[in-house]
Amino acid sequence: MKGYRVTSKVLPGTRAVVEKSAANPARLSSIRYVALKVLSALPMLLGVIVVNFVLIHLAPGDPVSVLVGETEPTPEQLAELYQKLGLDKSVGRQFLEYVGSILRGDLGYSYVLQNDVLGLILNRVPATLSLMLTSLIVFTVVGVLLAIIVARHPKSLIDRGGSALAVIGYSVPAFWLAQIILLVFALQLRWFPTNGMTNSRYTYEGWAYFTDVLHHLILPASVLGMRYLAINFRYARAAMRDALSQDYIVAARAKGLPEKRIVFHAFRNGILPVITVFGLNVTDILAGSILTEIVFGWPGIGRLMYDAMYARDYPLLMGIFIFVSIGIIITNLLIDIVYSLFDPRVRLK
Amino acid sequence: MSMQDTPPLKSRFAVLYGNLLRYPARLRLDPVSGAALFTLVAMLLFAFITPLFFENVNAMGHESFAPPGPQHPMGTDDLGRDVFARFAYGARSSLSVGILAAFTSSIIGISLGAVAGFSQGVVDIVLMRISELFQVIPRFFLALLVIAIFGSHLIFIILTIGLLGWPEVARITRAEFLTLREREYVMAAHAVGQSTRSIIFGEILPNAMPPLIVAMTMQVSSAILLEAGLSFLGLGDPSNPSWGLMLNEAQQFLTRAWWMAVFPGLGILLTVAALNIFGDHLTDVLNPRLRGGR
Amino acid sequence: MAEALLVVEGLNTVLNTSEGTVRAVTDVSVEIGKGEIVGIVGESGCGKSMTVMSIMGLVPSPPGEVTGGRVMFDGTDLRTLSGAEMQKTRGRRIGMIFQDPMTFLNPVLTIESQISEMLRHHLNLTKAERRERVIDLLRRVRIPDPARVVASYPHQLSGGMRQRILIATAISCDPELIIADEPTTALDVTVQAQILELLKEIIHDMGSSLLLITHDLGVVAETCDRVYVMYAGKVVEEAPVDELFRTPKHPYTQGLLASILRADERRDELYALDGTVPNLVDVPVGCAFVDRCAKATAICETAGPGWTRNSDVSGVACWNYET
Repeated sequence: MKGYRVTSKVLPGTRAVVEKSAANPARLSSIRYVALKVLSALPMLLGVIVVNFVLIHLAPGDPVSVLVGETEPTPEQLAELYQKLGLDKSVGRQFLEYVGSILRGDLGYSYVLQNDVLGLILNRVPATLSLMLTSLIVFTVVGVLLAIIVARHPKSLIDRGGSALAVIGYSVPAFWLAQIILLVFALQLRWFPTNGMTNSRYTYEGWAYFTDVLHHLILPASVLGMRYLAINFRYARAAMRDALSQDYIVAARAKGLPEKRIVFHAFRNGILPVITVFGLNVTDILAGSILTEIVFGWPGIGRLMYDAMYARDYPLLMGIFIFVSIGIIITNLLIDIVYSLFDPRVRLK
Repeated sequence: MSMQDTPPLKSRFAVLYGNLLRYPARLRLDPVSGAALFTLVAMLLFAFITPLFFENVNAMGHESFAPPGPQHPMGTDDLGRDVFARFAYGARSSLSVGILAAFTSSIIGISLGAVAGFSQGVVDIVLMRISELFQVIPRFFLALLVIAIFGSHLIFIILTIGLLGWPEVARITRAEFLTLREREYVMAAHAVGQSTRSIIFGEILPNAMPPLIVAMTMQVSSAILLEAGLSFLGLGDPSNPSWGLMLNEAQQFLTRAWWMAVFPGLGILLTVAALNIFGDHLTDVLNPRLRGGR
Repeated sequence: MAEALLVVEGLNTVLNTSEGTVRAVTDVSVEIGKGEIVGIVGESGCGKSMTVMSIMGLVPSPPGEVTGGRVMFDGTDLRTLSGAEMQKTRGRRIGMIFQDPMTFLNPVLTIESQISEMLRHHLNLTKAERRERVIDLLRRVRIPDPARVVASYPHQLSGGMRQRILIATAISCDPELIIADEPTTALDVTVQAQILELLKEIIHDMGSSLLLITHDLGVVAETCDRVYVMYAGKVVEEAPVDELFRTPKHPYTQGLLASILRADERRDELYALDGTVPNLVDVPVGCAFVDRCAKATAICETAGPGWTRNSDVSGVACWNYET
């Protein structure tokens, strides 16, 4: 067999040329791509604000009484509200001022809690994010890994079991699953606390605080995670099976690559629909997380919304709606960008 | 293909009827999807027949928190009401909300999608941007906000859920219209001067049905889940017990009466899972293109 | 014939489908000498590709299964090799080129990573060595500006360029045998000729052998030394290329030849073979070609013809042929 001489006819300076010519056009088009995506997200943002504005004005009673609800604000506060809504001006003018105040980060004032809406929401963001991100990351990875294993052994016991579990996972109402898990693991077995994010009887610091939060986090994160697991498993499995049946997999096998590398070839393609589907499911997942927060008394945005609903605190409700919508728009934007990192065909169009 | 005249209405009806008769065979049920279909039919019959045997579902009994037993197969709740009777009523309202909301979103979605796909141009762009907006808006939050502001009558809940679900149906309808309008038989129908309406209803819509049927199945399941979530938060119609409302009532008695939470939840899980499994199966059968493995 | 590199003997491959067992490859024997270019020609569905996949040990299972025969490569029966040993043979000693370079290249990986992964797994080269070698390979398949192309993705290249990439991949580890499955079918006519020319030249330079699978007798005429004609999963004729074109012996080969146009001939009518390849589930007891054959006699209906050998390198399976 002919051995290969590494000292072959590579011209000096070739490598520099490679890097220069390869990086530039790609990076340029990436920037353009992101800019385009950001631009196309702006109308969405405007749409959300329009929906909110219409709701305030469609609600029974005048906007002031809707926003004030059952509270009795001071005359100064009322005067300020009238001033801000600009009810004596034209509707177009009112809308512009409304958009302006939201863009300035003013989501309104909660007369029930006597506090700034944005501040109230931001206070709860860490709790919601720590719950969502933990279960999101852990269970997405588990779901995709499981799908990769299963895709290579279709119709095996683990495939059927996983698929059955996935159907349950995306059919079960999150709050009911939360109730059942709470009933079994917290109330009967007493393995985990039933409520809240920390043990209110003690004030822990440092590592003790962390483990305390973790202890409280496990049940709600698992409930939320069931859904991530189910959705990701389901789509990743289908996508991996599809990818594994493609011609490039035959080619990879003909190249004599090890099985691991062949799975990698499939994975790089199979992950694409998983990313897309994740974007489509963000809103559902968020709804699941509010309900889970409520069952477990997790002090996040969901819990805040629940309390706002009972107190008829409309400014807070609307603020949360706008805040969450913006969060979703940004998430979708990030997903588009992540997608473009995985699929060169999108990036360079 | 002969395109000289529109077939008379009667014959078209006969064709449709013949198709319906052929459907069971074309469904190609396997044990799993067969079980799902059976569950759905059984649940429907249960939901619309059983409540007729219970006169007042809100009637309070003598015994609160009675565990499941011969007297009360699903136990009683905090007010001594029979959980089984409420479960049956809950099935009826959950399924009604699911079906009616899906019906609402299908009508809106199919009409708007058809208009967008058929007319194209500016109308299409505007409609599709709106539908994209609705996909980004957190449906659950908006429903919650709307119902919190406007009140929680059953009709209102149905309309809200229906209004939030249409973009999905619209997108599918539009996509089907875009491909189907280029097909030969549609071109031929244009050429012989059939009216736009008869082309849409006679030629395109029937052929777009398979993916739409799947989408509607999914609409029902997501509407049931959405309603359950809203009722669980206490936004349901209090005069109509639904599964979600029962779970809301169960929340504070989780330790005392597990049966108050377990049965309504199982009802939702069973119905939604059956819908999802059957919907997946329909996708496989009606859309060979998407079937896994080659 | 030169010293044999690959000797396939009595290869049988079936596909177990819900409609029954499809006999995709039946008793196929093929031989390729060192430095030789051998063609397998036949209509689509005649079992050419399945023969190749059986040789490579890549028949998808289920539904496929190689049920018998030997695949002697350089003295070893590939069918007896373990999975790991076979993996070291594929790509390293037998390179493969496919029909449609778009679908056989991974759309989301760069050209470089798709070639360099072979160098990594088979030759254990370092990153820098791999980079140099990839660029060198691209140069060998005449890709302009190889330094730029390595960083690009398949969709950014033309069909001809992509096919060159597949060739570069196949030759990356200096294999002794290259199998090309319809390498030019998906390309424009003008590009086809360039690719064939390139392939021939590269094989010649490397001193390797080429097994070329095609439905196109024109490609065979331009490229191959010897050729096997396959029909309905069986080899029906074997001959050196000039002999095949001069004196085709099997009625099927005669039909194929009559159906291609030649520049030095003027004809008023185009000839086309009637009928289609039979369904391989219910293989007829007699000759598979009987329904389409003008010369069929009674015996052709009842029994399959044996192999009539003319010389070392030529033979035919037909009742009507007499030496």
